[in-house]
Amino acid sequence: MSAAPQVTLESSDGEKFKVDKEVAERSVLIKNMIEDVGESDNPIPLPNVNASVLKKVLEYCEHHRGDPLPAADADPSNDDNRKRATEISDWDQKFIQVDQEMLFEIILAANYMDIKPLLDVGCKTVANMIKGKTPEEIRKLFNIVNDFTPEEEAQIKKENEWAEDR
Amino acid sequence: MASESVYQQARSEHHSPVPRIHDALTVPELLAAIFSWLSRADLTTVARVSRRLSSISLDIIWKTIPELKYLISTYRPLTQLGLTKEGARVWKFWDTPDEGLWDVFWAYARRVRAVEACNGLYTLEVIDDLISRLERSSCGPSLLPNLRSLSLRVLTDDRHLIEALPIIPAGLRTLQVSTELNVSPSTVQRLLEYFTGIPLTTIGEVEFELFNVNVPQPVHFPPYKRRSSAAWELL
Repeated sequence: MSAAPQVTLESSDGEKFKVDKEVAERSVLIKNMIEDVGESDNPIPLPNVNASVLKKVLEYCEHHRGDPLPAADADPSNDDNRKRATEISDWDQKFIQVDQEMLFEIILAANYMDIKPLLDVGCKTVANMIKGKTPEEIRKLFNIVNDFTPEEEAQIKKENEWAEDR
Repeated sequence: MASESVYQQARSEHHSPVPRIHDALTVPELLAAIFSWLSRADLTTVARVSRRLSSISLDIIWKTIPELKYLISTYRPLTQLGLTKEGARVWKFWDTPDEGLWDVFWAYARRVRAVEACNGLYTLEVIDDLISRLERSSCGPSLLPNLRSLSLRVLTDDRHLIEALPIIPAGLRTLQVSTELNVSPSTVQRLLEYFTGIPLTTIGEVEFELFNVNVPQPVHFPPYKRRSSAAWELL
């Protein structure tokens, strides 16, 4: 019996990671690349992902290697799905307990590598950080500069008040 | 208070390096993905954080609106007159529209994809006013240019139908009409045909359903095509 097929991924800073093909293919980007290029011993370059982030992403892919592919109907704009925002599995919850810089790097990598469930976990985590905060608290949290005048901010509040209790 | 944002800018220019916003929060698609997990209440807070975050969260808030009242009130402010005997709120649009608010109205109107219950209770005068303002702008032929789904409630008379028609754009895909009128579905159909100028049997892309509380089953019509420009003249 031969070993599971493996592929090599190369991070932006030149580090190589040898992983099972099944694990790497949690990334739709990599799956498509392998399909396009065919089996090859050459490392697959990921110029947008550095080694520390790639290591973390692969940890996620390894844990979820056997998961069924995400359903296409998991549309977050659907209200029911949106209400489930806090529901992140225990393992994912622990996995995503990282500093803010790493959290956003994971989101960027998941988006680039097209790993929808990981992108969702990252986005839900940021959404949970925003929940219940004031605009000023959100600015502080993410280092966002307020480019509204107080009048503009008050105007937006007034125009959208109807939505607050919907 | 007015100088607060100026102060913040000065402060961030003075102390460098300042912690900067992460790149991920500058990508519109990622902001939309994050915000899609927020409630409307939290989205209204995010809308006040900064211009970039505001634009994305307002897109989500206004994608589906329960009714037209709050949209119209961005152009013609709404005041609560009082309560009816039954305890329902009575609203009134201000008599004079504020011309300066057209841009505000339009910024919200173009975000609307679906209206859940348009009950046509707004006076024809308000709609007329908006239509004439629309015609003086270069915004196109419909008050809700990106509307795809409309649920229309015809409450007391056929005027409600007339009032609703100017908001229907070319791209509408779903039109539902429910009525409490003591009229048969075919009468409402004829009214729609009259005001759209197009027979409902004409081949088009819109799925049309008509509900009548007096008729237990919804009546399905063949696909319905949008009105011709002649309907504008009728209005």
